[in-house]
Amino acid sequence: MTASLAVLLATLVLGMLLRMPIGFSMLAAGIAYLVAKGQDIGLVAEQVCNGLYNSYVLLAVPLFVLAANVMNAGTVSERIFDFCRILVGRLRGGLAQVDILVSVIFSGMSGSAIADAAGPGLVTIKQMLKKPGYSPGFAGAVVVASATIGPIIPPSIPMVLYALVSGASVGALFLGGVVPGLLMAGVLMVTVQIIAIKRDMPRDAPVPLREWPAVMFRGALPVSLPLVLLGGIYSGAFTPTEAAAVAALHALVLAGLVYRALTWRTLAGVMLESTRSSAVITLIIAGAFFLNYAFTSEGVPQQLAAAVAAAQLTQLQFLLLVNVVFLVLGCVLDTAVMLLVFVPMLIPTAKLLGVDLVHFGVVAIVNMMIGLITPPFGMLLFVTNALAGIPIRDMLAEGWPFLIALLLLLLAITLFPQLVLWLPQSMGYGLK
Amino acid sequence: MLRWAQRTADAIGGTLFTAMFLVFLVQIAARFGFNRPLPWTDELAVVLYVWVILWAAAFMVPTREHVVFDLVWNVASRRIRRVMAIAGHLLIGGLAAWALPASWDYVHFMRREGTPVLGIPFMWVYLPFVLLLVALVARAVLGVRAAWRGEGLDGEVRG
Repeated sequence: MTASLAVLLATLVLGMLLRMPIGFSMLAAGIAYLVAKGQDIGLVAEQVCNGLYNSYVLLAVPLFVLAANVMNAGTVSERIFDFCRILVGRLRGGLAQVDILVSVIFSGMSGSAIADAAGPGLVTIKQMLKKPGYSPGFAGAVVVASATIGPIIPPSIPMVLYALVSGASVGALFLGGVVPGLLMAGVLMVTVQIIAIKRDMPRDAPVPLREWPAVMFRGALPVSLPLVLLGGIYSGAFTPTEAAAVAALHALVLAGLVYRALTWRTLAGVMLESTRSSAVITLIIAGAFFLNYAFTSEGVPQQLAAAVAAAQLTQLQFLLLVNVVFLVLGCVLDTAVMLLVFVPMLIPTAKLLGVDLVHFGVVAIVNMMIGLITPPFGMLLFVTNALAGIPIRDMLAEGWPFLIALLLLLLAITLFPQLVLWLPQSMGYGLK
Repeated sequence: MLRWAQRTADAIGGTLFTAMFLVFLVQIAARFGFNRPLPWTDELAVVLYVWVILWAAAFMVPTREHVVFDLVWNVASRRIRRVMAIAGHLLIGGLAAWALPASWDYVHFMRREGTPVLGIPFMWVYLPFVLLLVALVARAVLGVRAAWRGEGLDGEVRG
């Protein structure tokens, strides 16, 4: 390691330990690196500005954020909730099953796990806490576990970021997430079922038959969007960025015109909120632009690739090793940091070993979503704690069966690439 | 005074964000509705995007909304936190101040080049980066002053 690279890492770690915002720490580390190297400090401005200006696909991020915020403000979650109560509410532990299904449907419109926990997650937690038989810890654990599905079923903000750093196709990544996302829902539902039978948890009250048509109609409207989005992106009719704008427009029309749940005042609030949260995410991306420039000019990814080549790892050994490293890093680091700083370092190695980049991306993102629910740095735990007031230690005490279920699924998609690649390939991905 | 300034900053950022969204809708309407893609929408959307992000990061997002790593902070005593806050602000603010002249040079230099379609000089596109650095320096000064007075050291204890 060169001295200037050491200065960069030291500044970054120091800034983070001192509780400075991670995005600002990354920028400061970049500046310190250039000072130590004696290069033109204006390079930071150049890398960050050009990076933002030239990454058209990144514009999807604020638009997806907007779509999710509009849906949350516009009671779209409540409509989906009612719809799912009809489908799975009568199972034992019904509300928990409803929550998982709501997450699946909501994921088809939102690309963020945090939005999923803050919107539909909060709606179901409130319902569960009204009923005996659901402890706060259990309710919170189900919600954080099911929120991890959000960015796996398309659309997905992390997949857009991954596409940016890896060059893999956004459309193929989105399709690749469908089967793993549904499987995640499946293993979580089975886990709930086992716990519910063991504890003799209540079934949800039936929805009166005459209410079915109205509830089904209102709930079915949001479900139509994912099909339009995926079809549009994959057929090439629109870019992922335009798809994100369509998603936001769809949410606005639903919430404002169909459900009439938006006022101008709430809309203005939603715009401000979306601006702020887009900036928070993108600031980290901007910092990562420069760090990647520094790592690349220091030859870090190439050295890593050479080291792995020398170790003669097989594809599978590499993927398993990456999984272990990411799970550990995921306990202490933010998803965007891992995705934008660590993943690019591994891409040359993955290519060298012939790992499919779509498979690699989906595995890495599922892994990072698990990182969102592992302490001490688990964003989903923080958000649910802040919004629902459920203590984190209670969620952890109830959460381990779900964690184990998700880890087993991660192992399965690592071992069997076809679980990820089957759908994109059947739509023509990789067959030239 | 500060509240008024914050409201103005919010209004500007929110308007830029809304404009960016509307530009996209125009683009989609032109392409699918009228089958006549417009050449300038992509470019304007990207320019607005650069502004929205850097402007909001500089003037709209309060420190508590940023992603931070607070494991050390949460276990530290008040006295240690005070030292941490002052050191952290000096680190970030100091480096931002250091980078200001060179960054302005770069941004100012880019006035010679314009965006391909609209011909907006890149100086105006990239200007908010300089504003972000200025805001970082100002934040650091305010942050050091607050920490010196013992303000803002409680922090949210999670769990």
